[in-house]
Amino acid sequence: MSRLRTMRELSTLAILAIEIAFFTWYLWPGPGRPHPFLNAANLLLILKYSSIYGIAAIGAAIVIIAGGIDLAPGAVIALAGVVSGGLFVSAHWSLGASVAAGLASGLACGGLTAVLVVPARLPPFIATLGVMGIARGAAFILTEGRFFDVSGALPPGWHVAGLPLDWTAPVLMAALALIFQILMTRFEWGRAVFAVGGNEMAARFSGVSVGLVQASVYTIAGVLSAVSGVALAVVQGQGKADLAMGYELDIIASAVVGGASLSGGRGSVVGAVLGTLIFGVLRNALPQIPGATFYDRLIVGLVVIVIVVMDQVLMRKGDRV
Amino acid sequence: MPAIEFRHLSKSFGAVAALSDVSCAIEQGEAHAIVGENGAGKSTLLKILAGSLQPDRGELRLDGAPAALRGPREAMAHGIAFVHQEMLAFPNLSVAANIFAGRELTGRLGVLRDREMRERARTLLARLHVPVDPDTLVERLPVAWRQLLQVARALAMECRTLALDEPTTSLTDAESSHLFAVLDDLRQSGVTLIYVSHRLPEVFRLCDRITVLRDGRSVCTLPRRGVSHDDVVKAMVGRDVPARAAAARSGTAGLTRLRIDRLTRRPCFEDISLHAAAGEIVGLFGLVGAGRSELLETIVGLHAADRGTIEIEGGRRRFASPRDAARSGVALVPEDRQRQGLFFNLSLAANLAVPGAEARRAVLVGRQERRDAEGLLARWRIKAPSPDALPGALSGGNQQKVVLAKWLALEPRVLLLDEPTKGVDVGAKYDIHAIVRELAARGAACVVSSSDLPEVLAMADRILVMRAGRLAGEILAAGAGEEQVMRLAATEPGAAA
Amino acid sequence: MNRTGAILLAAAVSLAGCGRSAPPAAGQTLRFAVIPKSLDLPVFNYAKIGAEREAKALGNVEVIWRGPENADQLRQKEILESFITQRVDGIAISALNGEFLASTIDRAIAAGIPVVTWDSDAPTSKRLAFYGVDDAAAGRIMGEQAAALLGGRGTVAIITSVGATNLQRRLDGVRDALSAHKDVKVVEVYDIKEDPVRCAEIIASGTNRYPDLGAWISVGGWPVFTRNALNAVPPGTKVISFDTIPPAPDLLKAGKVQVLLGQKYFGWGGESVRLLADIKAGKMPASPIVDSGVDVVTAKNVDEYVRKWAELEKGTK
Repeated sequence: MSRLRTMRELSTLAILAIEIAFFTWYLWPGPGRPHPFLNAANLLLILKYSSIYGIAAIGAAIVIIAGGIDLAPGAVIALAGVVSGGLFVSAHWSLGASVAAGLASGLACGGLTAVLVVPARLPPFIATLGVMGIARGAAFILTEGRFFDVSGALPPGWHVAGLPLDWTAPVLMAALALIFQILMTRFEWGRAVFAVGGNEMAARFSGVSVGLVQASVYTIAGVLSAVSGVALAVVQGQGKADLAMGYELDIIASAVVGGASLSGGRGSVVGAVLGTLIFGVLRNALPQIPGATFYDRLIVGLVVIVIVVMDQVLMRKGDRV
Repeated sequence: MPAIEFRHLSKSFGAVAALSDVSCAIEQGEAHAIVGENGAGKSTLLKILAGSLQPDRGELRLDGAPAALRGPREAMAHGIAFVHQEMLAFPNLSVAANIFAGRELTGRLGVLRDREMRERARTLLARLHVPVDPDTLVERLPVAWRQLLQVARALAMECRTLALDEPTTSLTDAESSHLFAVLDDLRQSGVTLIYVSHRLPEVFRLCDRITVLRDGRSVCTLPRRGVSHDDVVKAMVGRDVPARAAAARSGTAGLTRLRIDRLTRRPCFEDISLHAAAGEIVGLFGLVGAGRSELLETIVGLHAADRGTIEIEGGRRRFASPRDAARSGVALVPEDRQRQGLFFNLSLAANLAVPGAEARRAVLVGRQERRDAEGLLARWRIKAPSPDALPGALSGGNQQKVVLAKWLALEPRVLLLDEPTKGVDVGAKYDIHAIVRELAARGAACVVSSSDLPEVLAMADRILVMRAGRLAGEILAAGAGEEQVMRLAATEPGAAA
Repeated sequence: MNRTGAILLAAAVSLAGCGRSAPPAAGQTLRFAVIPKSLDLPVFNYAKIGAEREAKALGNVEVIWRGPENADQLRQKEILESFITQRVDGIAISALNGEFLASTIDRAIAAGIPVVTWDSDAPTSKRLAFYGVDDAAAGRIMGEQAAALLGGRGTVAIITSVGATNLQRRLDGVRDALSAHKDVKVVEVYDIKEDPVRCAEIIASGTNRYPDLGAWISVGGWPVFTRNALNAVPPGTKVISFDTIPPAPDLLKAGKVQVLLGQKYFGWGGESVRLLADIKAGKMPASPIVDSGVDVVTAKNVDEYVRKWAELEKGTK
């Protein structure tokens, strides 16, 4: 089984590699000019901006594997950014405490979702839609339409653990992806998540604590979205209530492109992160093609459809055992 | 001291008493069957054993000590494993993961010991003679093997008691034999078996003792030896059942209502010719995959035939749809009543009114329809709270009676039935046979397709046997033997049970 | 075939059918990125036209027009950063928040990419030039015009968007001018966050709150970007607004607006491109602040203005 899963991640990686190769070729510059796409600064930029989606996509993948869905990530990202940014800039809390408070806001949102889904038995779509509104609303109330300029409040040249600021979010994303990939594939809890997503009734009959598993995945997703939000505020420098609008759809699309099935029981954390990179490359490279700026939304939509259709076709073929 | 004892268990859901004072003792190492009509209380009893339900009165005793089980985990802790009717498998996980789901072998902090689980799974699968790699995803396994996976789970648990609930519903005869061999094996190792089933031949094959439940009460516990099928059925149904031999029928064949000639639809069936006259019941027997359902569906117009003709009362017809066929008096009662026969979101009265409405191009359910529905419910002894109830509130057998009643109300001239008593309890089964006979007596030509050989033998005047899409032979029912028919139906010698 | 194989095959096919036999045209084309505040304000379209015309006139310049879809400061910063890593040859930007972008602009300059600003400046950064109006002066003109229209006494409400430097300067200019008139009072300053839709709402609710308002002063063109934003204004109230792009002149002729201040819209794009081209050729601008000048349009000269505008649009200047 682990063998089959790695195959899916490998093919996602292959798509990413082909994408990069394609744009490298297509955007090849004239003689004597540096390559606009394939250079270290640009690739770092892609990583930097993709990791905001990527960290939250880890949580989204876990929720989808458990058979649920989460519409709140964008709002929680904004809320966490506002909370940590506001406390740091306006209330002059220490950076550590502000970050912790931001994470706590994500924990609260995730916990609220868990309560709505498990004991109150709301369908996850509705529950997370509600939490999305609450989180976004809270962010607006806290900022009163202004924003917190975190970059101004941080000393210049500030960094985390010796890493340059721009590397912070990507490294965080890679570390979290690795940790959660191991948890999902090699630990009992991860197996339970796959079981609940694959057949909830069977899981119940098998003695799996379905409610606990569901509560855990939504809570984790909330905290991960908050990590994204805090990283956004600190690295990009602004805690703003209207950030990350609509991110949840991109995040879900990344998880799906990375192998998650919306009917539950299938997916991969690493795949979801690779999915965000696939979209990140598209978002960076497409505007460089003259005349293509307004096509990037269209192409992103087409990419999702093509990849999912390929998934279906190849999976049905595999059924003939 | 019995291994499992139900003592004076009572359980009610609202006003309905599912179990009333049920007592039953099961000895360690025996194979004990629990039989009864639908609604008799079998599943409630199993749920109490599984810990999903708590009894209102009475107690469950395990090895002599009272036990109040509060969930699947506790039942598992007492060594009780279940093989359910529904496929409780995880299609997205591997075979090994399925076997150990909920009870994974773990190391410190919950790390999975995957390699060990895979090895244990391999051993178990070998013991069950299932040639499958433990890493295979379950969604790629054929259905019969998924059923055996549940048994493997029980073995992995090293259970002391295994309770099976209608395990052979989706299995072929060959697959069922395999299962029985495995269960015999288990009994050798001292496992107690609790077997819940409608199928008396299986019960008699496997079990030492039979407990009969009826209307929530335990009627009796019979030893298998010295008792016949009919004795058990009598206990289940509470009344004398009609003799298996054909009851009064009009006898003489009348006008030929249905004639098909060399009907072909590749790849399902080829060159089928048959005829059915008014008052006749023609049985259509064959194993799964013989093409019987497809044949019946093609006759009513659900599919288009490649070649061949269909004649209704002498006139050549080709129906565009089942609705078209219904308007000409040719009706099909489909195999999958859940998906094709009933509207589960409409009331019984609406369901009963639909075919008539369809045929008359009207749709409403008014007072007249409701009265008609009440009449039909009474006539066929369909146990339903009211004509406004939803089909979901009825037992399987009663649902099937509704489906039949639906079509009968139209007094069809040709009635095709596909597996009419599949999954139906014994009492309802006989009622349904009676319904079909009455219809034939009134002049309809009936074609009954069934994989239940005794049923076919009991009901039909003539039996057509299909094998792999072709007609293998035609036999008169009177004087025909099971073996004779089965030989015609089997693809290879020795493949049938 | 397995999944990876299928993907590789699909990629090969799409590459083959791509229709591009060679990489994009070589030669010393200069690629200049022109970044507006947002893509949803019509006023910036003229900058795009101006930039592209100038590029064509110069012959060796390619304009890449890209901005955030709405006034999102982070998005604009992201776009700016991506142009740095894409190694364009020059950047011309109208900054949503000059302070916020200052460090990024400096990074671009350190990477050897010249940066000029237009319309809205980033004065604390190391940008090489700014082309636009003298905001403070323009604001003062508006204040004076308002006071004149009110006859030296009355109430005034101001519409602005917090954040952009240019708007802040104009606001200061307005206040400065009005402070000289003791009997003219500023009752409220509304922040509409660069959202033209919000502007209509604010005007309606403001009129509700101050039914006897003497004048509206808008330091940005939001009220005149659409035909109906000013519908709620009662006939006696005066309106002084920035920006003269259509349909503003029509509104002025219809009497809904009394004074409009026009900027050099085509010049935003055209001049910026020219400045960048000069810088690349080694010619630094004489002064970092290039004052484009502002057009004061009233009922007296509106027809003349409209005529000149038509010529500009056609491209015959």
